[in-house]
Amino acid sequence: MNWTADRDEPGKLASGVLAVAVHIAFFALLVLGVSWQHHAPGPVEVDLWSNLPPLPQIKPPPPPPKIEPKPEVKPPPPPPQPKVEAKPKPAPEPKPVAKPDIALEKEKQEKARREREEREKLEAVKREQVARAEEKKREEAKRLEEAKKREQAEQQKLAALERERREKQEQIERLRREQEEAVARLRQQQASAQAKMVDEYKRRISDKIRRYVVKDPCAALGNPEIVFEAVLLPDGNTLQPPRIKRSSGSAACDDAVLRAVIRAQPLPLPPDPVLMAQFRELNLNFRPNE
Amino acid sequence: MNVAVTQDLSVVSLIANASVLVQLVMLGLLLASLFSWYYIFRKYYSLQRAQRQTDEFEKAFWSGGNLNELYQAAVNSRHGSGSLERIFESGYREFSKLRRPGNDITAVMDATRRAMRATYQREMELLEAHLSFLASVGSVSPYVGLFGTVWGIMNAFRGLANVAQATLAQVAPGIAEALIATAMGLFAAIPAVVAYNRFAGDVNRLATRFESFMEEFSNILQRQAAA
Repeated sequence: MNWTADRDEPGKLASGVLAVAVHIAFFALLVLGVSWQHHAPGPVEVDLWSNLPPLPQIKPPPPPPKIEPKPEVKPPPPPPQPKVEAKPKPAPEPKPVAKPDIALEKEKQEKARREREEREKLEAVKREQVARAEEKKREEAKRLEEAKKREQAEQQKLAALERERREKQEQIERLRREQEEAVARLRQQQASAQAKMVDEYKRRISDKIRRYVVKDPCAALGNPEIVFEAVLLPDGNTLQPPRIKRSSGSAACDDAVLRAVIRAQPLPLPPDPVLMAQFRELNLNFRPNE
Repeated sequence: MNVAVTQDLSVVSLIANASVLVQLVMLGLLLASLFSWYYIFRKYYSLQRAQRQTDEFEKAFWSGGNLNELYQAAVNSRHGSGSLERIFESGYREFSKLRRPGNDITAVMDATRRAMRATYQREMELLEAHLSFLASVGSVSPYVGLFGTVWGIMNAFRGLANVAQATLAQVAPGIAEALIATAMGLFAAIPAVVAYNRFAGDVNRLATRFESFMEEFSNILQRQAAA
């Protein structure tokens, strides 16, 4: 009897999908979660200065003063139109009244006088109007002039600021130049000191070798100069036997010098590793008879 | 030998650069892990269902239903019935076949017990299926991973022997790629062990329930036969 055939196990497909999902999740965790990439920091070069003159603090040049938009010089408001003054209404004509002659004469005189007065009054009004207009014109001119003056003053101020800024920049420029010069000087000093040290040690090496040279083979040659090359280890020993680059002319003398070099080991070397690097491949001009 | 300043140590490149044997080990571990997870989920589902069905049948049985009706229901729902229901079904079938006046009660009860026992063992076998696989994965895959790691490290150091100045950067990639094998072995083993312990406990509990049910059911049948 096949007693397993009638069984349906639950969740076969779901189990397969879940199992794969678990692995995908784990792999994703491994790839994303762990930072496997390691970046070695690049080499950093550092210059060490023992005694650098204290640098003057260089401030960034101040931003140029903002040129604020000038207040617009407003055109003076148009002068108010002189109001045409209401003309005084002519007084109502007095009703002619029958009057006696004198009275009539008087009346005539009176009338003439009144007319005159009226004319005068009108003229005065006109004069006044003209005067007022002139005064307005003068005021306007004055205002314009003032505006112009203000503008000029502002321009002057701006020019002054600009000048100041330029001066500051020049100062900064000068400071920078000075600093650069100082650095260059220092570098030169160091280089010359180094050269001096190199010479000094070359002399010491020569002295030491000279002590070991057998003088006889070289004695006949006067004051020969031999150039040889040696590769030095940091402890002052030679890595390979030294080689002659320029012979003294006598093979015996050359051999004597080379033997002396080997016997003179260890050669004196400067303790400073920077200087020592210059002695790694040593080319020495050597005068055995000095 | 030039060693790049920055080395690409991503998982993918590590696996791709590993030696063939280590890659084979990793592949095997991956398969083992996949299958063990597959069975973990399957087992989880089937044990859940078995527990649920056992609960349901016990409830139905002890609520005092007619045994004949229960038997009919079990026969009809043969396809979806649970283990306990099958045990009951086989026992009751054997009992009703043999129960004739004149038959010895003891012999009838023995036959019924034997029938139930046989079904019980089959059901237990079904419940325990694949558990041994989980146990093997749990115990073996760490060693397999360790083997891959040891092999990878051996290679890394052999490569080192040809170099005058040994730096860490020359060994590091080899060791990293070798350690991936151990990681995979552990990844396969830990869930398998945990799941095995859990499922074995579940199966044991179910077995106890089945056995006690068998005893009690035998008593009920014996009472019925004696009556």
